Amino acid sequence: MPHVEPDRLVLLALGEAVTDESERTHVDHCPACQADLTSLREVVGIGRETQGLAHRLPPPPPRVWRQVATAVEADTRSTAAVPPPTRSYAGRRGRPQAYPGWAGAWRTALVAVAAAAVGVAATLGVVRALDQPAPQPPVAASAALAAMAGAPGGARGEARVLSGAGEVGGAGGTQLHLHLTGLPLRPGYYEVWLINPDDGRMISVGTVGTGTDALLPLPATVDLREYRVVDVSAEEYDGEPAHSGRSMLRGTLTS
Amino acid sequence: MAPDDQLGDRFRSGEEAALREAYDHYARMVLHLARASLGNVADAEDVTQATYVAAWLGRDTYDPDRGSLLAWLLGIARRKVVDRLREGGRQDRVAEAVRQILPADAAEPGPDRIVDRLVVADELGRLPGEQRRVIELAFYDDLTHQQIAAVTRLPLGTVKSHLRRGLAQLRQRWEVDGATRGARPAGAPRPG
Repeated sequence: MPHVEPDRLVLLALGEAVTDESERTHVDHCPACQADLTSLREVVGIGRETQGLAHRLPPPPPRVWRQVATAVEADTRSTAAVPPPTRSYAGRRGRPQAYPGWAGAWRTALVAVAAAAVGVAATLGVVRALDQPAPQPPVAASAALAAMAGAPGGARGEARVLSGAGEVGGAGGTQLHLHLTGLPLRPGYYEVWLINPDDGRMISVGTVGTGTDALLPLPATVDLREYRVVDVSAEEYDGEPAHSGRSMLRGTLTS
Repeated sequence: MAPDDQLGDRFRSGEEAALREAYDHYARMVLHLARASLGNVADAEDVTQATYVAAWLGRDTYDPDRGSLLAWLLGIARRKVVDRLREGGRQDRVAEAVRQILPADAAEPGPDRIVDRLVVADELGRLPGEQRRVIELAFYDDLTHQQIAAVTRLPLGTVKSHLRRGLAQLRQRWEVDGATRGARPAGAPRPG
């Protein structure tokens, strides 16, 4: 007996026609026709549930793209700004099959950026003693903040994580001390973020003025090995709480 | 509008415009999957964002021969959803408690089914206009091929051939992308 015609199988799968006796006998004994019909029926079933899906779905709010763009920009900058640390690494980057995995490459690049930035900061004598009440709380981690594309060339900063542990009275908790210079006065404000470069997630830790020192409390639960990139962004008074995508300064915390 | 067939290759080769296109076309589908799985808009947006960042940074690992860019993105999103549910510990129990209060939708689809729908919907959007129209009339309006011929004024034979070719195309995409996920081998009927 011949196979069931393809056009006919399609109509059966759409539930339009019922199998006649000879067709049913054939399909029952023909694995090929049976498999075809089963899989076509499945596709029809899924297809009938697709109304309103795909390109008719509402898009995410604009801030989601801005966060993606910010994280991607960080990646582009950190890989472009620094020459590849080793020849073999550069070779691997160019050859997709042997790419060592983005997490590793990202970390390598970030460390390189941080190291370079710290070196520059030290050379320029930027690192300075800060006016802290004695005894100074221990510095758990620090980062030199370098100017990003949208910032004036002279802009720079320093971030230090001050551990509140062991302080008399337990006041304070962990704090982020920022010393920022060269940020222009503008109608909006500057906001400080901690970014996890592995997945682009970020938390806002507060706002700062220009050319000043600021002491911002950090959540006791934040893991600074993950949220290790300090970012200062230029924000507008636009009612939009997410990162504007305009990073002014950035650096990676190292302990 | 469906994106061009080269989008996956361009994405993989690091063209930044391809990232934007992949976002414009597919972020809504990633968000849909995340939202259906997490039941929380803010978390779903986080997952969408994290999915695109991870996809971009890991673009070298995308293999166009093994499935579509959309299926790959949805695969990343599913893993992010699982991570989120795991790390969410306490919040998750709260969400679960809320979910139990709300009237349960017995027919709520699992993530596999949602991925299947999104992939098939995407492929449907790639079919030539007349073919797509015929398939949509059969799927959504439940018209018979004679009714479709009457509505569209196409010859009966043309309607049948559109149905056959269109369905074959949807089925092929569904099988290839399903295989990417490892849910079933290509060409085999889906278990369960």
